[in-house]
Amino acid sequence: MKWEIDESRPIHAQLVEDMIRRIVAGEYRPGERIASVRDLAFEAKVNPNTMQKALAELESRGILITQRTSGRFVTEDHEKIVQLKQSLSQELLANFVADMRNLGYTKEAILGAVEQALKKSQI
Amino acid sequence: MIGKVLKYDIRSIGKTLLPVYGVTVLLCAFTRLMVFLETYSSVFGMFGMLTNVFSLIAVAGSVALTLFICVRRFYVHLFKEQGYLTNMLPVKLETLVFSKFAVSLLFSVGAAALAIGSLALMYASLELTPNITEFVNVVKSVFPIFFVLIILSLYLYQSGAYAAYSIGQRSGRNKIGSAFAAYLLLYFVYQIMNLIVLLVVYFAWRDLWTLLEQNDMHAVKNLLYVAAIPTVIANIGCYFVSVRFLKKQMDLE
Amino acid sequence: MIECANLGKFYNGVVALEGVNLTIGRGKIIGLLGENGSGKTTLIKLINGLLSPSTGSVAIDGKAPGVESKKIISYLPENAFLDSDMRVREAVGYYADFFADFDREKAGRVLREMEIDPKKKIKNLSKGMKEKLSLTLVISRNAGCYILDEPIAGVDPAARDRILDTILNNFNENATVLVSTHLIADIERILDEVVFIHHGKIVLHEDADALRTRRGKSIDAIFREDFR
Repeated sequence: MKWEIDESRPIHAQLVEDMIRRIVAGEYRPGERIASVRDLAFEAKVNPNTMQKALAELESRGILITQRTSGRFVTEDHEKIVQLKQSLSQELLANFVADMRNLGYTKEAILGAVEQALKKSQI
Repeated sequence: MIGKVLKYDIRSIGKTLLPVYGVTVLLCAFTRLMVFLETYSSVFGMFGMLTNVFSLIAVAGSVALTLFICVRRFYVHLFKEQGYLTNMLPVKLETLVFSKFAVSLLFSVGAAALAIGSLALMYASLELTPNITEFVNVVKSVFPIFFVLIILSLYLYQSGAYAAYSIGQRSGRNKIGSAFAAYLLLYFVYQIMNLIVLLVVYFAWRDLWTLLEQNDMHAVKNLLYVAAIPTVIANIGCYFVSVRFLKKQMDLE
Repeated sequence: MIECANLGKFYNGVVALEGVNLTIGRGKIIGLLGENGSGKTTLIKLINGLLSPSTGSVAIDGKAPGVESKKIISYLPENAFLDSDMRVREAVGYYADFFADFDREKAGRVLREMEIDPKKKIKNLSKGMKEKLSLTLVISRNAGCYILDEPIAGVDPAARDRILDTILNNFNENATVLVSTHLIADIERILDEVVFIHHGKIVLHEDADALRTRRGKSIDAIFREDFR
């Protein structure tokens, strides 16, 4: 997965979001060791200090665990990951619904549009 | 650190000058060879006359090039683009400047040796006109101090230029123009020093003229020693002037 | 690490830099951002002791620029600065001779990555190659502070990425990096802090992400809005 960074928003916050997305999507499995700050920073083409800050935040939220000698690991707390997944999807949905309503869609129209979109993506 | 600075200064200047010196010596040797071969055929003599002219030009050119290359190295290495690296080396300014002065002296010795050596190579033990023979005999008898005087005056062209460039740094508008003005000023100071020495000699050494007229080599030698004094002082003075001005203000363009 | 107090420089009465008070901490990447002619290079030259200040002072680790500061600062000037009569290999030797913190192995590796032939004369390299060589030498020191003046200005976009990668991948961790540029968009991702310089004055010095949060825009956009 490529790191998508929008320079008009704080970079460290986007790195946090990106890491969460990767964990939720299963790119990093629970208990898996993640790359070093330097390597991740290089991959994302950002300052190592910023990456460090992002990882520290993930740690303080319990999403990453540091083991003093062997590096950083994704939490093995499945419930936590499920929670993250839910809050992420809820956020997406809330945004989506708000946008659709702004376009003038009613509840039924939104549901219809979603069904159609789902059908299309199945092909 | 001084060793490393010297190494790169010598290498950079030597890379240009040594091949030129080499060609000059070869040309002079070739000229001499032609003179030897003249006994076999006058064609060689004709050819020798031609290379003789080229040799003399080469000798003069080598000396002039020495001055030019040394002064250019000082300017380019300290004040132009390369100055952005030279002045960022973890080396004291005095060391950088000292190295330039030392290398200039080295190549002044080289150029003087080349000039005298080449001339000797071409003309030694040849039948010359009486006037020149007489001059050569005088020079032979006072050779060491004569050689030193040549070196010192070659050297002074360079150290004077270094001091002038350093003083020119103080000007914000026109560094080269100011350096030129400073050079004239330094030259003026040097001439005043010479004048003072000359006056001292004139009043303190009454019988000098009679001795010289009698071709007293001892007197000639002593006079040359005295003549060297202001040049030595001027050369040393130029080093201190350079360091002092550069320490006070160094503005790379 | 670097402290400027009321620093100023005038040329014949024309102000190039005025009243600069700036403190740069250790281990940060700081962007010195300004248009051409805004005073970026003047500030950098003053920090390096290549210019004598007209007012105020500069201190690096508490001392005025001198032999000690030159031991720890690795400086990439804006223009070509290498002796073009040298070969690449000789230039590497020059750096290794004078800078105790120079890492020959790293230099060799980066030169290979950049595909620069060590046997070539510097004057026979293309402009882009020369810039890459300069950067290689500067970045191959394990310095306490790197000062890079317009490292990406003269090169094409592909080479820009290469150069940014090289900077990110090779500079000494815990080192301070001060990088000046007017090409903000290309470089803003890697900055911790930004310093805006305009008409010889420092108008802003802030944490990069804090600035983005405060204004809700990219630093490039903020700069354009404020000064163009």
